[in-house]
Amino acid sequence: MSDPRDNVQQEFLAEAQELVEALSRDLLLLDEAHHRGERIDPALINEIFRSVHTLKGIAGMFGYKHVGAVAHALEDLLDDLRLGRTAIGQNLLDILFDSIERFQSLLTLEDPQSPQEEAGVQHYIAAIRSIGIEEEVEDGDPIDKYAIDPAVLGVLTEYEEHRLRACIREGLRLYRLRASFKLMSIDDSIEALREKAQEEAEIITYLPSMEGGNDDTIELVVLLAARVPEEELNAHFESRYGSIEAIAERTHLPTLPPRRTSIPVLSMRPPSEDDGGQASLRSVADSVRVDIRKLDHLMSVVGELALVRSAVNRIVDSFKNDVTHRQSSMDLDRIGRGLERQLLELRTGILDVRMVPLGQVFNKLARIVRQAAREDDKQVRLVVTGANTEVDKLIVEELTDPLMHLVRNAIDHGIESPEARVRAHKREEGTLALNAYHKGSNVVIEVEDDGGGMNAHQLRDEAIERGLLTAEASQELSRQGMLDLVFLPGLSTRSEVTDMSGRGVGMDVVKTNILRLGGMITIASEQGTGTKITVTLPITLAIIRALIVTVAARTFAFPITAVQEAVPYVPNDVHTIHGRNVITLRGETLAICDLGQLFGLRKSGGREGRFVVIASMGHRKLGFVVDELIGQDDVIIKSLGKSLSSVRGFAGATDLGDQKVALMLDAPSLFTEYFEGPDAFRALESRP
Amino acid sequence: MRAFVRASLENANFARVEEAGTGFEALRILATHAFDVVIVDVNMPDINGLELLSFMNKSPRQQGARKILISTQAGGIDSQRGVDLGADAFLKKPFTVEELRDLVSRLLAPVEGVSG
Amino acid sequence: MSAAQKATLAPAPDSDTGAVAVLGVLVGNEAYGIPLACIREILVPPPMTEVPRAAAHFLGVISVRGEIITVIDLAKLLNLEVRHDELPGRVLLVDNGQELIGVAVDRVIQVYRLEPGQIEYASAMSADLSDYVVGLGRVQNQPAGSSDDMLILIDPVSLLGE
Repeated sequence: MSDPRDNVQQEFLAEAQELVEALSRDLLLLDEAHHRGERIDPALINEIFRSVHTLKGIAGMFGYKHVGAVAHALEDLLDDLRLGRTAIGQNLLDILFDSIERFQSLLTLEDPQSPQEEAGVQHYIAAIRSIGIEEEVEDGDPIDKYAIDPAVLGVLTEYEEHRLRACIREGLRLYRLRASFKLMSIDDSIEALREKAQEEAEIITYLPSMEGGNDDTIELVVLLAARVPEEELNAHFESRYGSIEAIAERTHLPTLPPRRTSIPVLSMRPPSEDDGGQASLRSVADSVRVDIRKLDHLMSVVGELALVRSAVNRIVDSFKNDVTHRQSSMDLDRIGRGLERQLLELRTGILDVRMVPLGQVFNKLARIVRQAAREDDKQVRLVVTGANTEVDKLIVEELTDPLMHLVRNAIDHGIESPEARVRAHKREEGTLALNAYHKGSNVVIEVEDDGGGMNAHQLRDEAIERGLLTAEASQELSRQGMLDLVFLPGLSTRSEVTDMSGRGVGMDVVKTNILRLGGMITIASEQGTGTKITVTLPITLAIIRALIVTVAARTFAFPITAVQEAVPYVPNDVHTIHGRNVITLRGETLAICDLGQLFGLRKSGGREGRFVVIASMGHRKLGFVVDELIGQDDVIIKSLGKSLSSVRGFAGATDLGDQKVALMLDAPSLFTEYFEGPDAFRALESRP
Repeated sequence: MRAFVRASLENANFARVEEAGTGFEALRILATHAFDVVIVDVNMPDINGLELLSFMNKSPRQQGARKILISTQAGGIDSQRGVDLGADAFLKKPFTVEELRDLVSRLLAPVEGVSG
Repeated sequence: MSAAQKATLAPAPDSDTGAVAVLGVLVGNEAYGIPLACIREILVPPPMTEVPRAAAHFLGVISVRGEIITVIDLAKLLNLEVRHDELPGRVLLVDNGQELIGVAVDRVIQVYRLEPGQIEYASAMSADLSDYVVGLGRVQNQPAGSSDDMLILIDPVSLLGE
């Protein structure tokens, strides 16, 4: 008898926990609605009732006596509530809220029958039972008002009957909708029907009928209560779901005046004023507008499925060497690979929907080019290539401001006045090029002008003058290094605030924004010839492939796009050059950095690391020392909350399944920190 | 809940157990497969347990099926309606694994060849 | 007291008296009150992932149905001496107006309904009270495990934990 119990004990606890969490969520919703004085959705109360009902059921099966007893008492209370026999009040809400904590502590008991808990449980149950029932004065049964088929009334649950009564009392009319549904897709059809009905009507019940059905379809009779007249209801459902007919009222009974029940909170919502979507719904032909959050949600689901797939993979792997399960494991493996292909397709499909052409942004930029040229009295020809290059919608949105700034900069400070250009033997009209193209899994956007270019030495001198750079440090700077100074805060911000962005943002902010998107920004400039700024971005942010590693017993994820390879780490091969640890790999010197030390997870000089993950960003490479390589996985990146946004080195976090979270390493910022020192970085980040 | 009902029945070697999470799912299965025993909860999302009983009464496939109704109150309106709709037995929540198995065994006893 | 702080203790609209519902929680042996209106969920702590380099009062991040939530240790944030080395008893999902944030506490006591007369606002008290406190709420029965019959009322808007 004990074997199946042991097996499912954990499952019981998991389900019970889920139910209690759902209960907690729903109670908060109930409390909020109550305190705002809003209409309380009968479905919410029914949902709460069902959670407790289910909890009672499973607690009984698994000998959780106290949980069962508390759930039982609560269920009775909630039954009274949903059947309108008692009203929502503060006392009742408090008692319901207390149940959450009580369930959670009862579920963690070593002995679920523990006699020590008896007194407390009984005390609580007494409190639950102390909430009285409000007797309603009945003016005859309102259901009698309608000529409803007794066979229909015979299959209503007590709850449904109560809702029916409440609706009639509130003056709603009853309707019968008869429609056929495909058995395979009935859930979706009903969900659609339910959503549509929600605005105008309450669905009391669905009755399957045997008429007009076959193996694939079934006819349902839907009993509806609605506030609107028949024609309107018919128009609302557009006859899409079959015929709607009003249920006849009995004429020989005196008509009852509609009156409110004793619980006004359970009233029907008045017909919605927001009806704007209806007309457009019909006119939309081949395309639909989709809220990006819905796509995000779908993407999350795909990600979760990928996690499930990984879990299956692990199980298959563990069976592989087991002869007894050989055939099953091979079958499972084959099915798993099929699933993976489909998942990939699904993922690609969703990503594809998210994609929008960069042309949307470029059009905006074209307007800015015209406006800026007019203001500056300059002649500018705009050349655009790759406007149909597609990028994730979110990236496009985040990209608009930085690109606007770059374009504005190119015209204000890059392209010379017509006179100056003539003197420099250039065409009067300057050229600004916007180029976009795909490069691997990245999209590259270039903003290029044929203006005066940047004076590297002037930048260096300015940096020293403003105290951003010491004279000694400047000695070591290459020309490229001097140009990169333009990204330092406080250097590129001119005193005049540009009209365009109105914020006077500098190149440092542009860089920060691009880094935040997981991108890179580089600058190339020749004095007298022009400047080219290159922005490299991932095509999509939502799901990325990651290399999962551990460092000091913690799990981290590298974006695979940044990883070149991983090699075993041999502490004895490490040399020190200019204070930096390096190894030699195939004749090339490579700087390495122990992630454990960088993050303060272990003391310096440690030799714990076992692998070097070699990452590259542009022309730079850096080896990160880690402990273990766990493997590759498709992960959904979620940003760290606002509170943690100032913590350097992480691009976000991801759920690896089982609620285990791994932090996603932010390669660009780790590179910046390592090569330019934490101080340069801090300066960048300390901006308000 | 369903998982436990299923587990306890499968552990008792009641040959094949199909589960349905919603009334519609149940409808789908009931419309296409014949069953020896059908266990329904009164309070299901969408199509309720009573409606399923009524559906089974009309369905030629389910004429041989024994119907068990799970409900909250043994003597309540829901159970009374269940009787009217021909439920063979009731299970009042909470019930134990043993109660469920005993009940199913009892209902299956006169029927041949359903063990194993 | 800022406008935002005032707003967090806005009385429930159904209340004639201006009463406020707060969830009483225990941290160490002190009872704190958090406005119920900003609490979305009460969780048994899922596995916590520590975030290197984050300030000490950040316990780490957790995943709640796929969303990544930052968890603040209320005891550390308030510089309480007491320290439980084991996992927190409960994590409250609190909406601080900007994001959902996890707040780790030892135990959840119950929901209290505080009448205006039971609340003493911080402005009326000494100035050295922590930035995170709106005021004090006096409750009738001393919460179990608490050394006082007071609830220290937390301002959820302040729980940004910079």
